[in-house]
Amino acid sequence: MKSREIFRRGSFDRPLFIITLLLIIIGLIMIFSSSALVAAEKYHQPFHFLIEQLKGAILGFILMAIFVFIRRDLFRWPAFIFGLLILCLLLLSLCFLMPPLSGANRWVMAFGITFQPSELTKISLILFIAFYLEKKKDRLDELKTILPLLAVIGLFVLLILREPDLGTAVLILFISFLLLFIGGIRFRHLAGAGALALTLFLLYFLQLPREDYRWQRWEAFISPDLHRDRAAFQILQSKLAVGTGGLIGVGLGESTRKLYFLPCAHTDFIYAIIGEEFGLIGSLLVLALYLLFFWRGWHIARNATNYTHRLVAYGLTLMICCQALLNISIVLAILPTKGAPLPLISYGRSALLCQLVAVGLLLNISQRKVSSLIIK
Amino acid sequence: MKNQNSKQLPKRNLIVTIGLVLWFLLILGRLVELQVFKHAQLKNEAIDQNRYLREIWPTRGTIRDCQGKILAQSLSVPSLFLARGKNEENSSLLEKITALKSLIPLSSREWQRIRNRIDNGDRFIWIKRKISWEDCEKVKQAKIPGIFVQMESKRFYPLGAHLAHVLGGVDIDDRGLSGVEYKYNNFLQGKKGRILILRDALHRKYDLEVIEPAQPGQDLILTIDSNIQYIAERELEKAIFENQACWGTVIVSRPSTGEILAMASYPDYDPNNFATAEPSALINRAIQENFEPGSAFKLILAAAALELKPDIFHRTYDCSIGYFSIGGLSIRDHRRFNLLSFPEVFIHSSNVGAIQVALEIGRDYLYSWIKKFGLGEKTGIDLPGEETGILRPPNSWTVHTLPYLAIGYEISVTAIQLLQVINAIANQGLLFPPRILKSLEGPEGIQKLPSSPPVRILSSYVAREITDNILAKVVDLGTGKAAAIDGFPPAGKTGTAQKYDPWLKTYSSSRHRSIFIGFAPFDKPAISIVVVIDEPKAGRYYGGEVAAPVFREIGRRVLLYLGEIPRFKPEKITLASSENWRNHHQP
Repeated sequence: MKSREIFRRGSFDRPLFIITLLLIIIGLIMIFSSSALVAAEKYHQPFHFLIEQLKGAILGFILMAIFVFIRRDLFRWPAFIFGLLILCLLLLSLCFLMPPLSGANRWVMAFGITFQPSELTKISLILFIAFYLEKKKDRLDELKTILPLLAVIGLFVLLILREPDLGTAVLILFISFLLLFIGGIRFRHLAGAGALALTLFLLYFLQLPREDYRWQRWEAFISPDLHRDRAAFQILQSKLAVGTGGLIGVGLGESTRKLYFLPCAHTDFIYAIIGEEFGLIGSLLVLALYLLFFWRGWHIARNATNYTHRLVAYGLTLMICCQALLNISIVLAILPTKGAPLPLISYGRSALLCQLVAVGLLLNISQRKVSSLIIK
Repeated sequence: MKNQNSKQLPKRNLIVTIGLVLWFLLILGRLVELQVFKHAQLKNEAIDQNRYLREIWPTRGTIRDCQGKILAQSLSVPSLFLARGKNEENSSLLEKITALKSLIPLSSREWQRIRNRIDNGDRFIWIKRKISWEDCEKVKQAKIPGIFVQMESKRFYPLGAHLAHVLGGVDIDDRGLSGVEYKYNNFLQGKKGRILILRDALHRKYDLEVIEPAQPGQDLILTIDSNIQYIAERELEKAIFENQACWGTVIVSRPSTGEILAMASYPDYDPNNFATAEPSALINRAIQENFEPGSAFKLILAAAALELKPDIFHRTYDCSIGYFSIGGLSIRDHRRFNLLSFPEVFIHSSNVGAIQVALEIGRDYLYSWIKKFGLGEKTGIDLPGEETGILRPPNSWTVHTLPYLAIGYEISVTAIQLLQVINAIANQGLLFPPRILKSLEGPEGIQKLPSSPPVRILSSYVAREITDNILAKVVDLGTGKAAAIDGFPPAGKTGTAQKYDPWLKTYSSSRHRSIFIGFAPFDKPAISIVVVIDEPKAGRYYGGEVAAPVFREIGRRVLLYLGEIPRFKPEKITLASSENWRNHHQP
């Protein structure tokens, strides 16, 4: 009794689409609110960041539409999977040939377009893991089946770590492990790999000079009072912003923290401005949207017709939700500071583009259903 | 195998779901903690960060003379300060100051003070306050980081040393230290305001809210006329130099109101540089110097005697002996007299006669009259640091005191007290306390000061008798001939006192003080003048020789300036009339 999958174009999951749209709209409003002043002073155009993000959103929605309507099963097409993986590898390598921007090689710049390949790497790795696990699903218990997979993940994590981009590296590692866990890898193997990754991370961390900003951030997280002026400034300002908001917030555009008190107000710390301007109500609304996203993503995964699609859906949902939770945890000083923008909301065109593509892929999966007619 | 997978998958994704939901709940809890329970605390902390409460300094009031001419005004001047950066080391601050040293002059004391403040770890350090605009421009050009300019106000006295003692001076923070600046500091300084400045993290203002506006200080209008002051100072200085005197003072007033028109004191100082002035120059000799008045005191004696015995006017006193002895003390006249009538005793200033008059009226009576004229206590003029003079009560007097008192010794007075005495005579017995502040001018308009009501201390009959028959004749016939003003017959009294020598414990025969007090014209007084010249060393020392000419010159010029018409065409005065000019230039 082999069920047959049918592709019903346009029958994608409406709630997920609406949640995404809402998050994008909130993002555009908050980017304008938190960046207008800085943009006006820096670019003499208060709408600078809004316009750039809007461009990204429009392009993202076009790409999303394309991916939603592709009938071909991309997720099980080796050429697409490997092609994407190799493209990411090339782009990541290319980053190191580019002149560093604010001390990091995270971007590829060509023909006036700036792109952050680590965003695409997230999707591509998720697709690869799902594809690989499907291929080897009969031998998942064996260590030798998962070692090459771990090697590939490790390579990408190391490359991103070298950029350096600790936040994305940690996130990719975290999502990969969750995906492998759901995928059915033996817990023993996973724990071993986890222990290895943790050890390597600690070694990497320990070899960094004490003056490095990552150390400073860590120390600031442990004892914020000692670092009042430097690394802890951001965390402190973020807490102040969220706390100032209270129940209903100070109102749209009335934030004072965005007046250079809170660095990255329109990117990594945009949630703090949401908290300040809209209070507990606004913060909870955004949090609830991510929870709904999680629910819809899980729903799509559970209803997926095959193992690959299911894993891809889990992976992409985790990609959006874990990043959101990580970002909010940093803003609320639950976790130490590392660079992780709020998905679908924070300013950043590469990230937005990739996240919309991810949503597009999720919606694509949601259109693939089991045909009951064929079973008859 | 596939079965195992399908079994595991739901179980494992449930674990992940629970994990993520717990994470969501953790965030929810944190949001409630920050936005509900810690809301007030965090909000206040945030407000503290971008609000600054600043004081606004009010502008200090302007001081003007009775004609509206500015005597003191506050101007905006730059001050330099050093601000320590975050975690900036002392050495880096020292480098900046060293770089600055080549641009503006810094004394070793200032240098030491700045170094001490740097070593103390101060964040805000004044480098030099109230510097010149040129220096400020140089520093601005150098663009040394951490060195800033703050505008402050500096007191400026456009007339320099003129009227220095009346105006006084201010300290570096523009607080009055002496003179009217001190006396009326509360009116002049105004009230500080408060302003709330909202700033962003780069310390740039984005909003201002005035909580309490600063109230500018009130302007002072003095009774002083700077033109008369100029005349008084010129004549005083001239007399000081001609007579090689130690110090001197001149007060010019309007007897009918008690208003001081000029108050000069030598040596003087420039209130623009109050801090560096000589301490001896800071003394306002008109109110802060006690001295024995000598014969000028006989005026009080005459008034007292006339009040007690109106018929004393027709008495005569035998002064032919030329000296007076009592208890081993001998007081001589300055020249030999014969029989003198009561007025003549004073017109010629006979010591022997005066002592006889004093003995006749008695010590208690004389003492009560001295008190009536306000000697031994402050006149209450609105200037700080006024002296009271020295008047011992009768029970501590010795046998010498009364005769000495009769000729103006064993009593100390101030120049302003003498002015009060002569004004009472000029006003036919009415005493107007002297004053220097005419009105206050604030945003609400001009506030006239109520002048204290005059007190009658002398009957008008006695005052007129003394004026017409004694004081006017002092100038006509007696010791004060040099005080005669052409066209404006004055009334006055000379005084010459030997100075007490604390080394020899006796009165010195070589050191004197010359005094002239008087008013003019004698029958309708427009001005009264007190002249005191201390220790003239150029040969002449009598009040009639040293102080009287000063009185005459000041009186002549001031009366003409005030528009008083002379009784007859003065012969010795060159009038600035067109007729005069024509006579002179068209032979």
